[in-house]
Amino acid sequence: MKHSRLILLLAALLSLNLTPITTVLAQVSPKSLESLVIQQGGRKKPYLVFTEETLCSLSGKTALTLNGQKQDAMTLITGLWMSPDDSWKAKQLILVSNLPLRQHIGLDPLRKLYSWNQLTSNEALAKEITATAETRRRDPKAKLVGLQKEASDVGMRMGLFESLLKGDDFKIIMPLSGNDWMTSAQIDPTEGKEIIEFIDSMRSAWTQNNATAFNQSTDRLLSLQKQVGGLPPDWKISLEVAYQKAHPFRWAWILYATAGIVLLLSRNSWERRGYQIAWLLAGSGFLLQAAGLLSRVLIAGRPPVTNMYESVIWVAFGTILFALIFETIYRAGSFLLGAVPVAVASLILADSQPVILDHSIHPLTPVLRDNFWLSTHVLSITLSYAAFALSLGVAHVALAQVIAGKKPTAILYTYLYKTLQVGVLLLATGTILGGVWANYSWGRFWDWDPKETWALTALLGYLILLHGRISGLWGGFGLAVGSVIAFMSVLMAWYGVNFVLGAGLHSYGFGTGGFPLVATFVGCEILFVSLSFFRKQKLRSV
Amino acid sequence: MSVHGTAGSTGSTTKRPLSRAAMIAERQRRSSLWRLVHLLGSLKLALVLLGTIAIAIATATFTEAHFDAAVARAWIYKAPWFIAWLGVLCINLFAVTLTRWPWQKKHTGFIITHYGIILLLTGAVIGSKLGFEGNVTLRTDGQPQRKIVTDRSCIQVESPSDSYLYLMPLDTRFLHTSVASSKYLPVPGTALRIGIEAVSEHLSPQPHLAPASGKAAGTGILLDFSSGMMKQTLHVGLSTGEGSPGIYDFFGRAAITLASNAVALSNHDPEGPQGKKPWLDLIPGCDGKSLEYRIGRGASVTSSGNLHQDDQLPLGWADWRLHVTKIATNSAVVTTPAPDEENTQSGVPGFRAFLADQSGEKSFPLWVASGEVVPLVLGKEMVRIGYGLELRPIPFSIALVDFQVPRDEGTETPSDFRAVIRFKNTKTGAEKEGLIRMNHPTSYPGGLLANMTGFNYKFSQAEWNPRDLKETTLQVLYDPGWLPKWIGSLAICLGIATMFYIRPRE
Repeated sequence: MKHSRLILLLAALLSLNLTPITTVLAQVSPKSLESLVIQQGGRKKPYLVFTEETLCSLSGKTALTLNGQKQDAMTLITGLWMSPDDSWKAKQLILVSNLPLRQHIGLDPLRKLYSWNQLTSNEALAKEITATAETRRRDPKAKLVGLQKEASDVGMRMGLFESLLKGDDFKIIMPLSGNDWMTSAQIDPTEGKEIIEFIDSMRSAWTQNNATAFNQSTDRLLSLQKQVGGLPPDWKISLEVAYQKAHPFRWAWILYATAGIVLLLSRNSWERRGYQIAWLLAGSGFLLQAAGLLSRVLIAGRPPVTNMYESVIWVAFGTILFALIFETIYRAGSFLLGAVPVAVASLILADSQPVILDHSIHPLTPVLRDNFWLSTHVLSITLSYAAFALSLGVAHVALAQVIAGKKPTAILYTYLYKTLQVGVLLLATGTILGGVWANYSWGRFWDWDPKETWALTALLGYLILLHGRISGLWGGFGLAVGSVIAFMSVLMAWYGVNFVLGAGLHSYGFGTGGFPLVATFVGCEILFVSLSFFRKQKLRSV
Repeated sequence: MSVHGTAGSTGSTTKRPLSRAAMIAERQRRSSLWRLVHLLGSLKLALVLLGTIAIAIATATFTEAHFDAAVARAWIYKAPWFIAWLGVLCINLFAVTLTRWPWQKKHTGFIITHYGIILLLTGAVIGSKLGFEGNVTLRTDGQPQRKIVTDRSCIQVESPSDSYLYLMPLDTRFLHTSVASSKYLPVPGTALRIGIEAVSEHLSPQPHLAPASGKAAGTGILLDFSSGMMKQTLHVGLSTGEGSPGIYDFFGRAAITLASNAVALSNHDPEGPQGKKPWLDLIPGCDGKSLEYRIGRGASVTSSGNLHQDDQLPLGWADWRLHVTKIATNSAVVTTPAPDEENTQSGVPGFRAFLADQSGEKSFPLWVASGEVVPLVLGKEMVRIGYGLELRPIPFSIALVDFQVPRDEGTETPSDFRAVIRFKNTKTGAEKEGLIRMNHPTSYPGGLLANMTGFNYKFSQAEWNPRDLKETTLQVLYDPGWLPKWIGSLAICLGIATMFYIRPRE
């Protein structure tokens, strides 16, 4: 009986696996192109990465369903390159993510993807883009806001589509002199005869759906690219391809979440074993995440904290790191239980919002190109966020107990205090290191830049929290409530300055979007704290 | 739990020998000085200070995002009350270390941290009082510079007593004055005072008609050209007198000419330099109160007629309209700065000032625009005043030898900025070269001692002009408070670490 069930399950799994294979067979697979080196956005990267990043900028996704067929980024972008005919202009590829903009220009509020033809024939959009261009012409440094910013983003995506269709982005050959790589169309027809031939044969193999011929031509193109030279080392390309395929951070959060569930379930029964399993799961997730971060470090050649996406991943990593260190010392379980929701939420957020949190690795703005300061100032600041995130998690464990009608143990509040200490030390050090760096790069130690100011505000908030506790002004419960409230100032320093205020010198981290999400989070926290207050009062009166 | 050895703290305080707590209570009972120390060093005061500072600076960041960094600076960061508050914080920090007297080993981290903060703030005060920040724009084909532009606005007064230039800080953005309540500044070395009765952020040269005689006298007119579409109004003054403008170039797209008679006007040859551009010709009428006008394009006239003062006329150039605001004989056109509230996007800041003596007599008030020097005359006395960003002389000259902007591969995005600077000591003539890269400033005179103490001019990359790669702007910092800041910073970090993680063996 058991065996037959297993066979059925296997068969079901196999049939699931068969579907993608058949769809891929419908078109020549561009897989042989994945490690072709392409120059784009100021660096050289594998073709696989290029296609996923490009499709993500164009459509906000790394795979699309076109004519009922799911196509991955490689197939879709290669299709644009190999057969750039007008039929593409009718395909719904271009993202219009902003709902108010869609309503303003009369597009379907429920759909996000539109075709080039639909967008170019939209007069309201054209008007909006012209207005944006006019604003930019008057003041090249003007900060675009609201609909103008959204329209400008759509305009950029339309520009990207045009340049893809023209083949301008497929820069695959190093020139004899200079540093700007060329597309096959830019190559001198006599000098680059071979390359043009290969591309032509790839094109005809692609349109005739001849896999053998296509793979032969791509192999020849790849070896020719090696002959011409100017490529990054092989290991770097292979590593980046592997990193792009592996999605280590996705696996990490799955492991963390499992660890959290095991921990929750084992609170009462088979305690020891459950704790060990949770440790093991969280530890493996941590190692996986470390490997992913290390890959990014090796690929980019710098610490992995240079944009919002990286810092979210890093803070999740730091939270688990501190939790594991504390667990090693105290074997309490509460650190891990507090860290897991924070890490899982952060990693899911990073994975699911590629438009707001850009995954791609870009060259840095000149002021950030200093690995010493990046790894001291930025790492200590973000690690302090991680410690505070852990304190947020531990505070939640305590407050949840209060809400459940239990009195948290004194030791739990001591643990909370210890996580806060780590955060305060790191935030103070990081902020001061920032002053020293600013003294070098901008020529002053402190100038009340909003990012500086909010880092200080957060630090002052946590100092109040600690001082009030040691003086006995509030007890453990107050400390827990304060940890949740003070974390809002961390959110402001981390997200708010860059995405809400959008002012000051830390402009390289600026972005838009995610506000409703953050506001919801803050709202939920306020609700949670109020509920715990209410329950505490009730418990006291009983 | 508490590693702090705070007086009156809960939890771990039971371990402290009772005699110490009793001694602390006893000295407060006996001495009012100790009571004061404990009051000033109280934790409640610390919490109030930290809380208000946190709220104030958080508010300031929103002010900055919605208004202007300068407003946030004036109201909060650089406001006297904020500086005073930081002063009280220092007293609190100092007093709290005294309350622990006699110090024990466990107080090491606590004392280092609190003194570190005081030292850091002291360094900041020294830096802002004795040091300065500014910038200097250099060109590879330009002259060496000997002055730094600071970010501080000031009024410059040339005293008639010693012809010396006196600088007084003044920022029109935060000055609230009116004719009824003027702000007065003394003229050093005299009994005179300068009165400021109005300020404006949008001063621009505006034409007026002034009485004239001789060859300079002619029929003068003042015209307003306005466009709703462009949200702009132009004030134009023309006169037939010698030395006054007779032609106005309308954005290079049309020509407006005032001439005493038709003979003096251009014949509007389509092959001529003006080609087929539109034009407006004006001839004063014999009565001195009207104008004859003709509007045309190339050789053809599209409309013509007569205009009087206060008449309006659509020109047929987009939605531009002409408004004749004044016609006057025997006048010349004079251009002086005046507020232009219709075009708030343009113009420079400035103020309207007059000279007053002890008897209360006042001179005719004049507008002083940023970057200009204006003489104020009262009786026999003349005082020249100017307004603008303060220029700081430096004891050496700086010249830009070379400026390079390397780019990211395959893009126009800068990957670095590299400026080679030549310093020349004004006294000795000794020269020195330095390379400024992003994150790698260069200093003058440089050297370990100067770098450590901050008695040093530090030059960092600040701005560049993508359209002109011969030009770069450097940020200049002279900060004698650097050493206390640095030591204070180090003390804070080490102090906190000691307090949290190093337990003394007792």
